[in-house]
Amino acid sequence: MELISNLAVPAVLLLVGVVMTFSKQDMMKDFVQGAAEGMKTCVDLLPTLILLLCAVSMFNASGAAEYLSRFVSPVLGRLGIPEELSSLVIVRPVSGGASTAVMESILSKYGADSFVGRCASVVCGSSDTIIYITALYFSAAGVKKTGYALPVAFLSMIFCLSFSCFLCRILF
Amino acid sequence: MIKVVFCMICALSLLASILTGNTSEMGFAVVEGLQSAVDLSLTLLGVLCLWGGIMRVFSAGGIIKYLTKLLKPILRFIYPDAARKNNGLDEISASMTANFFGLGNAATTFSLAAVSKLQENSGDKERASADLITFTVLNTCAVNFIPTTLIALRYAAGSADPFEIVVPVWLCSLACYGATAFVLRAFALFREK
Repeated sequence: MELISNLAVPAVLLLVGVVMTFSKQDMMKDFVQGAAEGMKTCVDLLPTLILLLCAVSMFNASGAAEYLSRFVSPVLGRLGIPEELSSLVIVRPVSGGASTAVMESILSKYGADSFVGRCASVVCGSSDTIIYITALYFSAAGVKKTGYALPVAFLSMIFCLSFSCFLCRILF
Repeated sequence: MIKVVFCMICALSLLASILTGNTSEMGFAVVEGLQSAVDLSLTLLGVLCLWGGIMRVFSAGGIIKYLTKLLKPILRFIYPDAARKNNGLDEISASMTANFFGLGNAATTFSLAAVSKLQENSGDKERASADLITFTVLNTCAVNFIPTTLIALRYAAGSADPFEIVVPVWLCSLACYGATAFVLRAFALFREK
């Protein structure tokens, strides 16, 4: 498993090189365009990240995070989720920027290779912002009655959370 | 949404700091937060540029069209209404493939096109059709090929092996996607009755 994880990116780079070499079109132009878009994404992200990382930093320093943990951890514990992830659990369905900020603080506080760090990583990689996506799609469709969408989405997130921590426990 | 989140976090922090007495560290925390933000953005810059370029090359190379064809049989099961009317499966497939490769902008374009196609299929203007609910909820289960922002975050935090979580993330997101698709199909059948 480690071998696949480690070789995935170099393999992709090789594949890109092959596609670029054997293609009839001028791929360098595409690469540059894509890279420029990536740069734009980053620059767009910075202001939000500044605000949110300051907020998260204050949140941790004030002791509010520990207080929140105490509320949420009994529930999390029963699902097999480490209590240090309580801020992430609350913020993940709500905002992508805030999740990045909380991830950064969790990884720097507990270390990226600790059990907590790995759980947080797998959780973050396998879920997305429920509120934003549902709001966007349903308003684009113009529907008002969303039926079982939100309950199932939240159930799905809870499943994702416990499954990722479970996976981390057996794989690492 | 972000504004609300930000206000709530700040308000809670201020209140908590007064209650717990940790007021002395608060000003410093802001500065620390700023530094983290800048450090992180610099790391992300390189990663996002590289992956933006790579994914764009793949999409120009036609891989999206190829994967779209592969996905269609699976999508027929998950989206029965769209399959029956043969309308919208291409857009759904394109949006999934774009999300898979982390092409955020393309993915949103395809997703919104899919949403309008699914609304065409549905008779009801007020109530979300089963397919639309399925599509929306499944989009909240992100299935990514390489979670680049996550890897960059791990690298910035000094991980010895930022990529070790890639396979677990694949397993988890696929399991989640599969389970959710199943549940949604069950709900859809239940609703039809």
